[in-house]
Amino acid sequence: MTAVQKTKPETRTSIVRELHPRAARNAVVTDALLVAEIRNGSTAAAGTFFDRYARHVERLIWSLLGPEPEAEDVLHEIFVRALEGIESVEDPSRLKSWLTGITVHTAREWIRRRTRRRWLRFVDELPEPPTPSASEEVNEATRCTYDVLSSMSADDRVFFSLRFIEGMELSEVALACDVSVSTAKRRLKDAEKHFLARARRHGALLPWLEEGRWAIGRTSKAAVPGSDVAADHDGGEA
Amino acid sequence: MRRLAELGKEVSSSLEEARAKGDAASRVRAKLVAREVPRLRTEWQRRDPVSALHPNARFALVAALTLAAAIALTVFFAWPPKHDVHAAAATPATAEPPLSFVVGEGQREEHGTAGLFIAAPSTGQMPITFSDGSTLRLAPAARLRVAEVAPEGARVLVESGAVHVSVIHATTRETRWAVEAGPFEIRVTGTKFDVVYEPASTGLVVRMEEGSVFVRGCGLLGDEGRRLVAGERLEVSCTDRAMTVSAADADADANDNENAEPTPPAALAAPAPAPSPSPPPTPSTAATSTRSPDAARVIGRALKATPSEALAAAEANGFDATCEALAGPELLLLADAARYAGRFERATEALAIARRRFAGSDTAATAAFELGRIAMDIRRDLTAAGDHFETYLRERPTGSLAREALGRAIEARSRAGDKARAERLAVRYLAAYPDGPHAKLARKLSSPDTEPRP
Repeated sequence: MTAVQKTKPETRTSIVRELHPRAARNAVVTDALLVAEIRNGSTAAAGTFFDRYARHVERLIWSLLGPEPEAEDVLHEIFVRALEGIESVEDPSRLKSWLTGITVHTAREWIRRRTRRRWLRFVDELPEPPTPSASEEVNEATRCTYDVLSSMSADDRVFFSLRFIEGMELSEVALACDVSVSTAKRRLKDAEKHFLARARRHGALLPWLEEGRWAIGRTSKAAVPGSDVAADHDGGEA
Repeated sequence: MRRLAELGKEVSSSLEEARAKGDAASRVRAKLVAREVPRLRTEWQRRDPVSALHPNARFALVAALTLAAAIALTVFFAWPPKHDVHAAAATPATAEPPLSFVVGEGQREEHGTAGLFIAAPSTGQMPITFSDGSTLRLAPAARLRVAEVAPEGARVLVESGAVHVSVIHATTRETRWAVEAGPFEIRVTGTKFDVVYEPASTGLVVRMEEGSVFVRGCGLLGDEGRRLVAGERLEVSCTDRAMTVSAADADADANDNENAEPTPPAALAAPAPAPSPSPPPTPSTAATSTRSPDAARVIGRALKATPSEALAAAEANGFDATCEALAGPELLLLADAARYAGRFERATEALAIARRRFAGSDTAATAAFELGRIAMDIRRDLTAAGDHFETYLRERPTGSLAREALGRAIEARSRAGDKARAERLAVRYLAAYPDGPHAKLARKLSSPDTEPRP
């Protein structure tokens, strides 16, 4: 008699696990389970948590702070704060929003610290920021953008960066900054007004502030993040 | 408003490019899993008995602690001061904690303990990640012990096999690492290199990738030790009383990035030859170099000077000739320098030469990825970009850039209007990286009901 051996069909997860163990872990662990495992002190869960959200957080940091050499320290600080505060997560399904809130809060603190440090520059020389590697024209625009942002208040800067650089919807900006949508809208309008007033002093930013923006030779049809909000937001345009 | 969004998008993509070049996330990850998680775990364990108490008991405990602290403060300030330098130096509260480390990765990640034996399986590598971001990667069947850990480094004993060492040089404090293998000691501050030790022949090979190290031992390398710099390779055998130092060009292409598996060279893989009756070669006569000094100068500039200067040196030396003389990783470095200098045609040229010269190696695959980035971000040639990214994926389906290559390939194909191909890639992406940065786009493309955003 021939023994019939039942073979378990190979699941997608097992294939993924073979290809990449971290990807496999990402595929099977929900945020709720992840939070529970981190609370139990699991190193692997902390690693998965980082793998899952580091890119999002890092991108956000760069949008908020620009090309800063201290971005790595800020990333570290955010994840340490997140791990320290993991007990306070009430709804693990909103882990990403919770982490975004920590990121925005930490970045805002950093901007304020940086502003204070700028006054003390003679005792604390600031390190050289990394240079973006796009075209000269875009590099210059990026430099000028953050130059303008650095002269604005931390709150204005955060609202502006989240909306225009990170491309968040108005409701997402409100959630990230822990304010109501109407407050976010008002703050954003102020931030936009302040940015435009200062940006006009920078020649490199003029093509983006005036009609005829296409004169600088770009052909990409850049999407406007949250164009529905753009319609609501007609007061601050140059 | 619309124009500000355009500006924001340009700024965002230029930042994205600069960010992608860095490796901050992996360093932060290493610190988190190896240092912060154990610290937090200890804190949580310490906190747990307190949180389990009844609120009244907690209040009593807090009150008792406050009283104790008040008494301690009173005693501290009332007591006459006594200046004891030794006691102050030994105070653990101010001392920096020693490095910690994690062995393995993913679900097999475990906290390492100094002194314990660590062996890689016979079929796979074994990574060890330290809290300062430094890493050791054991080749299959390699064995070692992390003998000691200190705040400024660690002492590693390689018992046998090949290990890739990457030590992060700390800018804020001293970095002191030692890798020992039999009678040999390698002193490290911050660098990358492969070390291979074969106990049967007491043979050591050190293949430098970045920075410099001092190697000593066996009476062959002098009291001070022999300094090795990037690109050099030392082969030394105590049994044979023989030593050679050479440029590492010959095998650099096969071992040119962190994903390349450190492999023992043929000389050590085979049984040690019997001692030769002829007089042993002296260290001074054994040194050889196959690289022209001009090419070496280019690399020196690429590492230390500005990208434009490195490129100028390469062009003065003859750009093609330089590209032909450089080893794989160095050629990629030159391509990077060209990119940073905004000379994309030179970057493309260097990368094309890298693909031709080192076909099948990690260098060639990385060159394909870089060509894809230039095609996509600079030339806006989406079809060519898609081809390059898919080439990388064919050559290194699980390489360190595979996720980014797959994501960018989806983006390129989708934006070029090749929906069928984009969809196939999207399905593949979701299977491997369901939470990856391109997962949202992949889901949109792989769903039959939704039209992807142009």
